[in-house]
Amino acid sequence: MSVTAPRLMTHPLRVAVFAAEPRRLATLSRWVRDFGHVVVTASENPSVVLTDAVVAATGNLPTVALGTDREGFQARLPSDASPEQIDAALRAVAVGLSVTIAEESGRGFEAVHEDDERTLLTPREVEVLTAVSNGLTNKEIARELGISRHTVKFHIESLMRKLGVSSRAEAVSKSMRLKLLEPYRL
Amino acid sequence: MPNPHSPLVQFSDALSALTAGARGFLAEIRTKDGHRVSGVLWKSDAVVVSEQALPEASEYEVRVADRIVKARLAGRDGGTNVAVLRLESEITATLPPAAIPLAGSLALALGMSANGITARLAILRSVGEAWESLAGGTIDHRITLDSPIGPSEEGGPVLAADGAILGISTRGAGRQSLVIPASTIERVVGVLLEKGSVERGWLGVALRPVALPEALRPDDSQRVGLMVMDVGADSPAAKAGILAGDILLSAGGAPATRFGKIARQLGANSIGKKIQITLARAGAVVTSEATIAARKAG
Repeated sequence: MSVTAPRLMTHPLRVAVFAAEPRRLATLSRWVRDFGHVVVTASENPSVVLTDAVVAATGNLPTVALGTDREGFQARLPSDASPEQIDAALRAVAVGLSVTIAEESGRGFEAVHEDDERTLLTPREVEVLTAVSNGLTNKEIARELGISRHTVKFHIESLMRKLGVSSRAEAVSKSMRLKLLEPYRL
Repeated sequence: MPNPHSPLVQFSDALSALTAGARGFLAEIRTKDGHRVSGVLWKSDAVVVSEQALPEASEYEVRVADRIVKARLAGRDGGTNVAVLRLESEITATLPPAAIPLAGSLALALGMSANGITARLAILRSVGEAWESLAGGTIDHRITLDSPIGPSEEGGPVLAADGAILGISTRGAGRQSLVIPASTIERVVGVLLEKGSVERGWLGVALRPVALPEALRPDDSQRVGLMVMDVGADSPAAKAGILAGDILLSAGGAPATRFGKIARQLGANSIGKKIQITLARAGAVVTSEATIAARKAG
């Protein structure tokens, strides 16, 4: 059972993605694609720009900038913004809105988060989810963990079922929200 | 006709009397740059405040019991959200006795704001068992209030209906209002005054709970283990031969099903002691022994 939330804008955007590191570029591009947009180069008539740490000057296109103090962008998000936040910001700036992240007034004193036993992942699923959130493809995950691509797919389907999500990007953002990959140090 | 004998008037009078009576121990703490937080005069030379609410400063100005006294930080314990300021000159403390928290009972949460004393009438929304904070402390009861707590009010006293003290108010995650119980504060204050910090045991592992595959379950009832994501260099865990990827099955005889069960074995008196550890590694069960070290502050 999965429920898809209504979207602000349903037609795909043409997004030019910039990041200094190839791995970061790959991750951001994958998130953008996973939300149904098209990743294009700067010369392919993009409708919006997503830039990490301001690696590119972007003319007058609506821009979502990650991890920068510089003014003048339609959206400014922290560098650890979730895929869902980035997607929402891209859609918002594309229709002429500007976006800032809500000021966090301190997180508050918190109990250690003990997970619900029913949705606990297996050790393999934890490894696969970590690799997915690092932006690796199934092929790369298979190579890194020394298992077949078929097995990787099996684990991804299983963890998506446990998390109640229908895409990799959703799995990553939900696991961030539930702090599924955040370790407790003792 | 006003009715001075109405039970509502008696109730109201009782609340305002409790509030007025708190002037002897409800403290206001100010820093030079204009920050203001609330606290409680716990001993004649010590004021307790909420650790997360207290800004860093070399010196604080404490206003309590119609006195203004300079104070310095004696110590912080992020694990229980308690910080203690040591007063430069003593003030006679009039702290009420500790109250026993009961779910559903009334509480008065007091604090300080720019307009003086603030009072919030609350109900003890829930009173749970001992719990572990994300920062590694054990708190004797999980007490939540049904009333919000303002930023400057945090750390003020929470009183029971009879005037006994339940603890200090603390802003929790998701805008929950918590109470750090008086018994927990009492335990921490002495240690902070004496040593400046609360020691905790340290193994040097980063853990994530995982579902145990059937073949690795020590018995049918244990379906969860704690996977070792990372081992600190030169940590007790590293010296015991624990590796990233191992799955902790038990420690000190307790099944490793929840973080709290392991954290509870790493109190101050655990330091230097040996702890038996069983792990699942590459499909087999491995036994090891680690010597618990002291966790570095921060």
